[in-house]
Amino acid sequence: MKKLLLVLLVLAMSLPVFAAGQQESSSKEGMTKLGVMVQPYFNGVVAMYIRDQGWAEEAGLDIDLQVYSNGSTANEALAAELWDIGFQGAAYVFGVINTDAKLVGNYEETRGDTLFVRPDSDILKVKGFNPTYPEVYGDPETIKDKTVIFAPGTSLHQLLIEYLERIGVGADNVDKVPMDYQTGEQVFATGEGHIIALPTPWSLTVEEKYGWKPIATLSDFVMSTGDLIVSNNAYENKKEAIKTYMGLVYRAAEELEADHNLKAEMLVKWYTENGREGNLEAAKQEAELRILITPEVQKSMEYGKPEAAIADFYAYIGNIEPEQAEMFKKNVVDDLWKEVLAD
Amino acid sequence: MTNTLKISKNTRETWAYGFFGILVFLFMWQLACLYTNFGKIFPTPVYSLRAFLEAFIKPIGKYTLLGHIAISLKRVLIGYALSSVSGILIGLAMGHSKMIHAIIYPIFSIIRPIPGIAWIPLAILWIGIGEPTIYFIIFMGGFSQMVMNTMDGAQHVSKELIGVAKVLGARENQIFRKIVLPYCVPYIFTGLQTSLSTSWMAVLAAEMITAREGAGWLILAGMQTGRIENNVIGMISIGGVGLILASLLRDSERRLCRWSVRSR
Amino acid sequence: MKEKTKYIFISIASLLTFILIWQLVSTTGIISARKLPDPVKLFETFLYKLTNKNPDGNVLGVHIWMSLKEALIGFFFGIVIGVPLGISMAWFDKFDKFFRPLFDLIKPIPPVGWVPIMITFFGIGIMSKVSVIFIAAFIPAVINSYSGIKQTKDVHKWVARTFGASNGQVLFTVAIPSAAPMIFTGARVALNGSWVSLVAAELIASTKGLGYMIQTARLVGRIDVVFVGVLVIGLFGAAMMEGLSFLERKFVKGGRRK
Repeated sequence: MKKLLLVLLVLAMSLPVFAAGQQESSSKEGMTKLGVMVQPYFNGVVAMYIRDQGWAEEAGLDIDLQVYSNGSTANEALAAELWDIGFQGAAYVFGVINTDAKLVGNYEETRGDTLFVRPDSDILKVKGFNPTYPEVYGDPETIKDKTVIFAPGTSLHQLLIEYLERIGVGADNVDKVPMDYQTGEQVFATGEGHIIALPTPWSLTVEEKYGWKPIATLSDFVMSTGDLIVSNNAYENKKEAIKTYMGLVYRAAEELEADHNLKAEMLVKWYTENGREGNLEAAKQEAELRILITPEVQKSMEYGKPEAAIADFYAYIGNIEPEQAEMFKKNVVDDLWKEVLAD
Repeated sequence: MTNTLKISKNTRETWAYGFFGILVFLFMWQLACLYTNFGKIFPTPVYSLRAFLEAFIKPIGKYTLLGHIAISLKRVLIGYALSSVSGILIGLAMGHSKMIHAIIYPIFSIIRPIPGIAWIPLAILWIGIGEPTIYFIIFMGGFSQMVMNTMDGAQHVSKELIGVAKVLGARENQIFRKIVLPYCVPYIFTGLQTSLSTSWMAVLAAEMITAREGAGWLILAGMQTGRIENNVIGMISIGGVGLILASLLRDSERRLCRWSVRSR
Repeated sequence: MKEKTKYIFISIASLLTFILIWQLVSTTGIISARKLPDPVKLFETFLYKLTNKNPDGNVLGVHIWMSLKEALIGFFFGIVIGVPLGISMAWFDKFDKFFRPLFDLIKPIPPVGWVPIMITFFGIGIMSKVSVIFIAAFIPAVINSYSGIKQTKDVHKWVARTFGASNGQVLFTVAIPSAAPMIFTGARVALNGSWVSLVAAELIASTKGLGYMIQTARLVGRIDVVFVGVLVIGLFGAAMMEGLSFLERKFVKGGRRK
């Protein structure tokens, strides 16, 4: 009896092992498989739109949409060769220098990254300390020794350093506390820290929610972009598929930019799909603020300049070596988008 | 007769005290919400309990709460089954043979203190981002517990017993089967118990990878999206399921090894 | 004695073989260096991190010191609060009934789950990390001292009572000494728990510590620094466990050998 029970127990425990092997997804016949990396933020909306419209299947692409909760896992997955093309912000620098990936085009101009303080902060007393930036608050006296909450390795990090530089405070003279956006918001709401850096959609809601005041935004200082990053392997071997997909990205950008209500609705849909509360009002503001790159914009903008600036920034704060920044700049290539937009 | 009566009175008391304890805890939670910064972001117990009950019928993300728990449970059982089988084998080998112990132990003792979360970057590089990586993290969570306990058992087999068996002409594999193995069973069960709870705890780290469902994901998504009630729901379910798993296993141990002193 | 040296020799040889195979696998390119940096490279990175602040802003020594500090403070409080609580739960029936269900429910929640809550309670300083580690150490400390006291042989208690010992005397002169080996096991599990939960505790709002170093290295894709961090955690963890086992062998009579 005992033995029988034991055997049964062992069988029951090992059953899932066999069950596990059967859920491999099969690739569709005759279609090129393309792994697409997004995050559950603004940058995923285009990929979702393309998926929902069914354009990829029409174009003969079998898309595997992969959602990563942060840049670290996305970059690790890139090193493990798990995706071919991704929508990414500032953290693309690390993926490029570590895996020889390429930046092939833009999908958005990142706006809305903002530094906030609480309404009673003494920083609000000084405005326009640096005459070049009359709308920016704070001076060395009020900023020194403050605690700043921000997400490292993002454009918010760049915002913070740019800001401190314009105000004339050394990066070591503030207390920098790394935190993801959401936890940052909660912690700041409980009274911790003096300054917080937030991207959209957070930066669009916290003023109303808590009365926090913006003191500077990234677009005050530099331009920052979201880029399409392509793994080295896909760049060498799947060029046609990548170009097809890039065409869809520009097509989606044109449709969504032509109708901001649709863009806002799609944002709400994307956020809800990823477990966040979709707020249509905030989504509308976000849709107005963050601009997707249409073919016209792509052709007219200085491609490669914001990318180079952020690489120099990472080299400056010591995350990467200066020669890696140079190598990165060589990997920002314009051949693909020029070919895609030529027709 | 008097015995049963005493027990029923005792159980009633146990329930009453336990209920009172949890009530005091909830009351303190409520106070913390009302009078400290905690309340600015953390839901009250009443709100959390309602959200918890609602989650059984209203889906969060793609599934309802039971769906999330079932997915996590499946992942844990796979990782746990793998770590149990390999942990018992390696543990027995290390406990029984000093040579194998000398070979494996140094590497094992360095791997042992490495937490599940620290394995994540390496696991992504080696295995990828699919379900197998999740199994791997859970595997690592239970494996070392299993090895340590089984090894402990095999090392403590009475030397006299083995000596006697040898004198009586038992062969090496007979000694292993008839003496070492039965002697280890209670230790293995302790291992199965602790490793089940650590495997279950590892589900949170494992679902940090890219999962979009599961009880651990609820906590993470709650953190990332600011819906703290999901965080609380996730914690209650992980706590509750962990409790149920532990008592189930304790029960089966009691049934299977009545001879052991440990399982009173 | 001679046999012991033999096994130590085998252990060292095994470790060296392991490292050698690892080196060969990496240099021959069976597994690319992007996925598995070779030991020589890791040793170079280790030396580099000893004196260089990039990419995470502090040298390795600072990270180790910070992590040790957090883990040991958390461990200390876990023991100081957990052991007496476990003993009282085992000794006083009502206490047990009051705390037991609550404790059982909290027990299976992994330390990572506590991180957001602790941050809202204790802010972004060292206390929030210490409190996460505290929970990881506290739980095994309670469990083991509880079962240690519960396993006191009834006969011993009866003998003590027969000789006129008060309830308190029985607890302090009979139950606690006989539970000492179990309590020590609890301390070892607690130390392991506090070290293991370190990375989780440092996941949010840290600027120093091994967990933070690993997080930053992940972000910037320095897999070699990730490896160094993970190995340092492993080595320090192993050293601390051996140290505690040594203390146990020395101070606890009748303690289990391992």
